[in-house]
Amino acid sequence: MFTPLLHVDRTFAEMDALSRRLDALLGARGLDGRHGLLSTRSTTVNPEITRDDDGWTLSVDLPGASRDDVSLTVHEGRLELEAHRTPVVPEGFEVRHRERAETRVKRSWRLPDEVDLDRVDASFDAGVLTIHLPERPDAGPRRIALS
Amino acid sequence: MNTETMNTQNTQLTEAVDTTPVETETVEAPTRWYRPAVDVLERDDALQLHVDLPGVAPSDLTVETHRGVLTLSAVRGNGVGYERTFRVPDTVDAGGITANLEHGVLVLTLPRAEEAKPRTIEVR
Repeated sequence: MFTPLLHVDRTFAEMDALSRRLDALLGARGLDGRHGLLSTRSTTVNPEITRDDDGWTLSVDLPGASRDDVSLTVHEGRLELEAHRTPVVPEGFEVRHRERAETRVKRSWRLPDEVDLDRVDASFDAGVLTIHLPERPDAGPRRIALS
Repeated sequence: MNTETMNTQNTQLTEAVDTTPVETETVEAPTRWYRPAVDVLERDDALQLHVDLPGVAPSDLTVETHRGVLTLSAVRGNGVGYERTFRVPDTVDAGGITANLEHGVLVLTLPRAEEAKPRTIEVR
């Protein structure tokens, strides 16, 4: 199950380039001025950003949250995310060992001009919030016809 | 095998830290394995493990008990896998363990074996 080092290097280089670009695109600061997205010791703490054919996809892990616990708005060119998850303790049980933290997220990002705000959509499944930020069809290089 | 003990009041649930890799039958083999966060809860008649497994579908999760060791192994896709192993105390009825995966959280209920349950003895 070892990945050849060269391949790893290339992957990291791609990820670095992507993450630099997205930092520039999305900005790194939250509403509360702090950098980290989630203050949790849970499995995944940061949004994972991937480039796809027609834009970007952000995914945020919120295991245990339900749809009602997540609010997402696009307003004046900003994407705002508010979400929380609280570990559930069923009737009669007491917690003996805790690793899963209560998590609250309040963040906003200025979306780059390339994002088609009207077509931003999101889904929430198996504790993962997936936000799709489609690129405007006219965002790429455009050949100007000479008249 | 090194063990890490999670203290519970009536029972000790020991985590087997040094685990043997588990073979999964999923087509896409993970390249990054994570140790998922776990809460341990206790009630008179049962223990519960609450495990964060975001992005995992029930069909991609395996929970096994063998000789007092409970192993959970899950594949998330994108090369990510979750694995964790626990040593189950004798006071648990291993045959009665149930698993429920919802909203990316696995709840394992480990019922206490009948003889291990607290019993009130009527004084005549």
